[in-house]
Amino acid sequence: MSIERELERPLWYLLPGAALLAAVTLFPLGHVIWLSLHKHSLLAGPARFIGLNNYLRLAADDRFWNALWNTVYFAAVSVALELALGLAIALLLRRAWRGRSLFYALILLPWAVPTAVSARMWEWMYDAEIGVLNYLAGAHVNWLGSPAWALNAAIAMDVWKSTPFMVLLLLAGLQGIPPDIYRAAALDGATGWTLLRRITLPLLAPVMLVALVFRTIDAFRVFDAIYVLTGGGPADSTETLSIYAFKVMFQGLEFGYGAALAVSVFACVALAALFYARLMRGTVR
Amino acid sequence: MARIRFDGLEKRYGSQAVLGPLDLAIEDGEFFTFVGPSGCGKSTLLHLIAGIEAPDSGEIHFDGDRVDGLAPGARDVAMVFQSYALYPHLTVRENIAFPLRVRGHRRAQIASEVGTVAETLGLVALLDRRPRELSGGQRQRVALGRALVRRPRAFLMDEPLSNLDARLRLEMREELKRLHQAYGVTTVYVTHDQEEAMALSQRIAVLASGRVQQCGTPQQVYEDPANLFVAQFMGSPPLNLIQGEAVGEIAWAGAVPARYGARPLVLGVRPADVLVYAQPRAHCLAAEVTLTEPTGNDLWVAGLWRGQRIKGRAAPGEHLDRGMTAHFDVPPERVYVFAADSGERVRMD
Amino acid sequence: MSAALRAAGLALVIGYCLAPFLWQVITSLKPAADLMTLPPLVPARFTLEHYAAIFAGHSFVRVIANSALVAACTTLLALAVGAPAAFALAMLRVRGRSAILAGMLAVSMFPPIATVSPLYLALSTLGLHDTLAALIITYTTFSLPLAVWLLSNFFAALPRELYAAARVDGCTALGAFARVLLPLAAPGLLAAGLLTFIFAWNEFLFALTFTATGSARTIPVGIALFPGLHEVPYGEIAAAAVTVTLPVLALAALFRRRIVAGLTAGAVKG
Repeated sequence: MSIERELERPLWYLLPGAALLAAVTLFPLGHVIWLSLHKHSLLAGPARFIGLNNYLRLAADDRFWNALWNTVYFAAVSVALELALGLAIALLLRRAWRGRSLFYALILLPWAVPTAVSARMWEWMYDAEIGVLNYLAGAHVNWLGSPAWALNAAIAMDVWKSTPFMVLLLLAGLQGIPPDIYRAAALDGATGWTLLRRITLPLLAPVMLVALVFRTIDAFRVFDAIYVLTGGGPADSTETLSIYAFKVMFQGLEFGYGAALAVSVFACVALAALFYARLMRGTVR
Repeated sequence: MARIRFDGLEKRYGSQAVLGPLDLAIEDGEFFTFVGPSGCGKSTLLHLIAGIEAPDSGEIHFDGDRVDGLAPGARDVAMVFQSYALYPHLTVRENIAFPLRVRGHRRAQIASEVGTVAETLGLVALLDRRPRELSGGQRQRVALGRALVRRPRAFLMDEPLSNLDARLRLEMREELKRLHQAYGVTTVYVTHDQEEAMALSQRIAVLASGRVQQCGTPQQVYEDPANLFVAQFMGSPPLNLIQGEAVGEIAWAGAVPARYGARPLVLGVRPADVLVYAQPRAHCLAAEVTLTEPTGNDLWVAGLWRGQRIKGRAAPGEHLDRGMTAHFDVPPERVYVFAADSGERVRMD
Repeated sequence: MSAALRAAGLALVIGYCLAPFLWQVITSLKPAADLMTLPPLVPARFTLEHYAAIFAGHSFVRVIANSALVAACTTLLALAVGAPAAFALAMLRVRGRSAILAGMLAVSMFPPIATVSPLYLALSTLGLHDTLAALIITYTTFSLPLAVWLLSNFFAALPRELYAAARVDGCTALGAFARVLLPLAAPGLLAAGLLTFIFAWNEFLFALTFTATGSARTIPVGIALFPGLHEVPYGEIAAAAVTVTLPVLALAALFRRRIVAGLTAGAVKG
């Protein structure tokens, strides 16, 4: 067959991947939505179809709203901090200098190490009695043990972990801005702050948006950090949606209601993605 | 060797016809060139012959066997691309050997074939280099070598010389002609350079908008153009055109008609056929000189006559400058007559 | 910005990123007696007792081996499945190409918690609970979108005429892919492979759910659930953390350009 007539053939190259994706992601997604319409406790008997009752229970569940609030708070604060910090560092590092790729490798370490490992590191640092943070600050704050501080402590850890990634993305974006623009602006008499506001930030906007999308979606899905750091406590003050769903499913063994919770996480992520997609279509113009 | 025949060959992109319908035959061992401006469909045609693209209708035959359903590798044609398409990760030797290795030839045989081709093309010293270390001309020869080593039925060449500088281009043109005379393989050549087409080919087809405007020997296409497009495209400097009311003024002694029936005409005459004098002469057009181009061999003189641009050749020493009046001798037997509406050549017998 | 200010800024950033690791290293070398007291920050004498402890019972070695095996297999499988797919999407004419790529991107945004319960049920039914195979299959699938996306960009950047030339020279489509395009996409394969390896090395939720005993436990779960009788063995945990950070550090240092290229390819091209 001539090359064009191989329209049939490309599918062979795509088949294994398509099969895996269908089996491991699409089918389970359908299944979890179907599960959410059932009462399926692994302790009780077989599953029973109950329609949207799980979702009604969700709406009335205070613990769900608490988890939703925690998740939104976590996502909003950590992403905002990561963006601000990442931008500051990226602007600092902007100009090329020797040895910078080794530098990038080193600052990538928080991102590259498993979150669970980082969480244990920070758990040790956050310890109220013998944690190094309290020691250095001369304070005695119960970081992980008090409802007031726990979620923020988790946020601080997530910011530490994710900022390097943000820095790299923003740096790449900054390097994509042609230097001639700055020279032209300098000729027009623009100085530091104006340059930043009028030129750098607008030109960096697309990259920032992409970075925001990735980080927001990751933040909404947060599980590892919280599970290891606090397990959702104290008093559910750090319990995010994923943690709550996990507990319902694998501790309470209620797969039906847990599925509804999982679907709610999916819905949040989908909404965030759509919101950003709308925004991005706007900036492309 | 192969005789290539196109039957009603057509290619469309969407609803736009890019090529065809094309009905043509290329003889066995012939050096045949498709020449035309960018976008005329000549590269598409080459892709169709090679099998890189499939026609929307029509057939291609090699020696009577239908090939337009075959994979490129099964057609036994070799192609030289405009960008050479050398494999960057292979050495020159491996590049040339590639088609033979793919077909499973024995190692010893491959080595000897590659060696022969390398000697023919002067590549022996470069065999262990990578393409990125080579100059444009060297890469072009490696691309040729990769095509030659296969002894294919036909060579397809897609503007292989257009990325070379002027001097190298002329050298390689001679080399290509010599190779064709030595190997005698059917060659389908594509270029936008009409001079190159004329120098290299046994026959030329002039393409515009996917349709063949004229097919013939270089001499035929140059001397006896079928329409205005061909007349303007072939030959350098480009054809002088005289149109509108001025046509009537140069219709002297019935040798050139003022009108063909009621249809308005356009006259064309090649600058090479127009002689320019500083002194007045009979049957000459007097025009004001707008610029002169001395090229060593010739002195091209451009002038403005009745608002139309006219260019001609003067003797190298002739004293002509901007602003002066020069006399352009337009021999009536060298004037081509075209219908102004369709561009068709009007022949007077 | 003056050089001194910039240097100070760089030092601050490095300090911010690496200080927790430094503290872990110090902790891992602190004798047990000094662990529970602060001061001193840095102990008078260093000890390797924690490292000895975690490697003693071999159970932690098992955990590291599991992670290595899972990550390696995932990377190989993801590339083996992803490269042909990326090739097809980039070089062959596929209808709905951008829809497929967009769909893959969407899949990569799925929260793991959404798919974990059906997968858990399915794997248990298939008898794959608590096996490395379960993790390998899952990780391969979830790394496909990024791998395919990265690789298809690499293939698309190659000159299209190379594929045509290989076909005319006698290769089948598969032959052209294997002999010409794949070698040229090596940098992309490396970048995709690294990102996939890191993803598989770090994954937590599926590992937690799909494994129950030490036989299939991977590093993140092993460290999260580090066994301790009465009190948390922070010294040993620190030693474990340092041990698993070293290979990641080595990878990041060796392949830093590739990793950064892979990560930023997404953002800049949008």
